Amino acid sequence: MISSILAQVTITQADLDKLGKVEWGALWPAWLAGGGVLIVLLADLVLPKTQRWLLSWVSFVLLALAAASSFWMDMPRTGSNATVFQNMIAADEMSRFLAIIVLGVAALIVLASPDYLSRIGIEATGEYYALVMAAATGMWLLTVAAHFMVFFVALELFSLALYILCGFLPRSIRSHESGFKYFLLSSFASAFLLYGIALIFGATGSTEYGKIQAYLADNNIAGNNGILVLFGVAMITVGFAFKISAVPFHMWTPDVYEGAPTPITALMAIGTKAAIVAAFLRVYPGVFGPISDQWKPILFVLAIVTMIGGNLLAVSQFNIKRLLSYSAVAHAGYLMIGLVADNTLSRSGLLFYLLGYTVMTLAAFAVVMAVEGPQGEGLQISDYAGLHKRHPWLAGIMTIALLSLAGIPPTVGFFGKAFIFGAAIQSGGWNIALALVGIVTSVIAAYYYFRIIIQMYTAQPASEPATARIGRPAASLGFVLAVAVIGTLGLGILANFALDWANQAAAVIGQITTNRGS
Amino acid sequence: MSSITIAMVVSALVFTIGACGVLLRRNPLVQFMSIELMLNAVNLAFISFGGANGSAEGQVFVLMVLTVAAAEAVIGLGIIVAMFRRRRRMDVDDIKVMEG
Repeated sequence: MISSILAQVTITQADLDKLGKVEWGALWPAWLAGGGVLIVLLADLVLPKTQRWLLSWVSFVLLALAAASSFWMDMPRTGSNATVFQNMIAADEMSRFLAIIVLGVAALIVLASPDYLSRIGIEATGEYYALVMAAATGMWLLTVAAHFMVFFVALELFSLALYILCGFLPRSIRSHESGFKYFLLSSFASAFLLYGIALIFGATGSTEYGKIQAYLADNNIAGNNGILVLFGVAMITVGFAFKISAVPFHMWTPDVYEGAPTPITALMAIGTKAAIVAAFLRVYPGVFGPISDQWKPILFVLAIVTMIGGNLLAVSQFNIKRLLSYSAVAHAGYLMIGLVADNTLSRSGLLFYLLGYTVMTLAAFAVVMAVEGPQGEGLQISDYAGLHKRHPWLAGIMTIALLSLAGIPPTVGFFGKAFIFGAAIQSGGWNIALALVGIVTSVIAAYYYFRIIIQMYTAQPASEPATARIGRPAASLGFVLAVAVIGTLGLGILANFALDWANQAAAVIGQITTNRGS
Repeated sequence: MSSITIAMVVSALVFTIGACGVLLRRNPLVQFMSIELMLNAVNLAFISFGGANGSAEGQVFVLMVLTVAAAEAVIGLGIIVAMFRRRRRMDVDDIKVMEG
C-alpha cells in the first residue's frame, strides 16, 4: 500500500528547489562571529590565568576573519534571488558592506579593550569578549534581515549583550546606572517596535519584507487594513527613533554612553547606530517604499528636530563622553536625511556616511580611551588642556577626528555631509530645508568640536592633571588609533571609490522579492 | 463585534496599561513587569492576527517573543539586583548620578 502511495508522489527537481536550498555559505560572518562566542568562552575555561591576554587576540582574529569572510561568502547577487534561508536573510552587496563596518569595528574594539580594562583595574575575562562578539553577531544579522522575525531576534541579541556590557564595571555606580537605564528604555522601545510589527502582520498577512512590500504596492493604505498599516508604521517609527536616539527620544543616550565602559560606548555609538540605520534603510525606503508619503513627513520632522536638538545640547557639555554622545545624536539626524531624501544619491550617500562616521567616531573614542584615568578621571574637556605637550600624537589624532566630525575637508566627514546634503537638495521641494538645517547645525557643531581642539593646543592646564602620568597607549590601542585615523583621511581622499562601493551596496534596497521558497 | 476585534481591543488595552505602568510607576520591578505586560499584549495581537490570517507565522513569532522575553527577564533582574544590592529603597527617581 505504501508503495502505491509512493508511486503517486513524484518529486521533481522543481519541488525540491521550491523547498529552498539551505545556503550555509551565505552566513559566514555570522558563523565565525557567533561561533567565536563559544570558542572564547571555552578558551577562557582552558587557559591559565597568566595566559588570559590571549583572549583579546583570539576574539580579534575571529572578528576580523568574520569581516573578511564576507568576501568569500556565497552571495546570490541578482535582484530576484538575493535572499537565502527561505527569504529570511538578504545576502547581497549591502550585507557585505555592513559586515565590514559592524564586524570590523567590533574587531578593533576588542583589540583596544585590554589596555583600557587593565588601566581601570578590571580583569578582562572571557565573558567580556564573548558578549562583544555576540553583540557584533546580532548587529550584523540585523542588517541582513529580510524578515521581521530575524530582525527582532537579531535586535534583541545585541541589545541583551549590550545591557550586560554597559553595567560591566563592578564597582562603578555609573556603570550600573547606565546598564539599568539602557535595559529599561531599550526594552520599552522594543515593545513598541514589536507591536508595530504585529499590526503590520495583521494587515498584510506576513512578516516577510518582500511580501509586505508587495502587499503595500498593491493595496497601499486602502480600507481597514490601511488603518492597521498606519498605526503599525507609527509604532515602528517610535521604536526606531528610540533605538537610533532621535530627539525627542534621545534622553537615555547621554546617560548610557557616559556610564558604560568607553570601548562599549564606542561599540554602541558606532556599531549599534550603523546596524539600526542600515536595517531601517531596508525597511523604510524598501518595505514601506510604496507608502512613503505616510512616513516621510514624520522622519522629516524627526530629522530636523534631531539635528537642532543634538547640536544645541552638545554645546553646553563639559564631559567628553557626553559631548560625543550628543554629537552621536546629532549625527543620527544627518543620517535620517538620507532616509527622507530617498533618491539614489541619498541611499549610497547614507551608506558612505555610515562608513565615514564609523572611522571618525572610532578615532575620537580611541583617544578618549587612551586618555582616561583609572577612576574615570580625564573625561572632562578641561582635562584635555595641553594634551599636545603630553601626547602630541593623541592630540593630532583627536584633531583629525574632530575636524572630520565637524565636516572639514579633506576628511571623510566633509564628503559624507556633502553627499547627504546634496541628495536632499537634489530631491527638491521641502527636502531642501533639511539640507539648510543640516548646514546651519554643522556650523554650531564646529563650535563645540573646535572648543576641544583649542583646549588641546592653546590652553594651559590649571594644575597638574590627574591623568598626566598615564603613559603611552599600548601597541594594540595604537594600532586601532592608526587604522581609524588612516580611514578618516584615506576615505576622504579616496571618497570616489568608497562612494562607488556604497552605490553598489545601496542598489539592492527595495528589491527583495519572493520568487523563491515558501 | 467579531472575535478579532475583541482580541485587538483587549491587546491594545493591555499594551496601554503596560506603557502607562512603565511611565508612571517608580519601582523598577513594577516597571519591568509592565514591560512584560506590553510584550504579552504583542503576543495576543500576533496570535489573533495569525488565526485571522490563517498563517502560522503569528504563532511562531509568539514563541520567539516568549523566548527573548525570558532571556530579557534574566538579564534585567540581574541588573536590578546588582544595582539595588546596596540600597534600601527601590525608586528609579534615585537613579540620577548622571544628569544633564
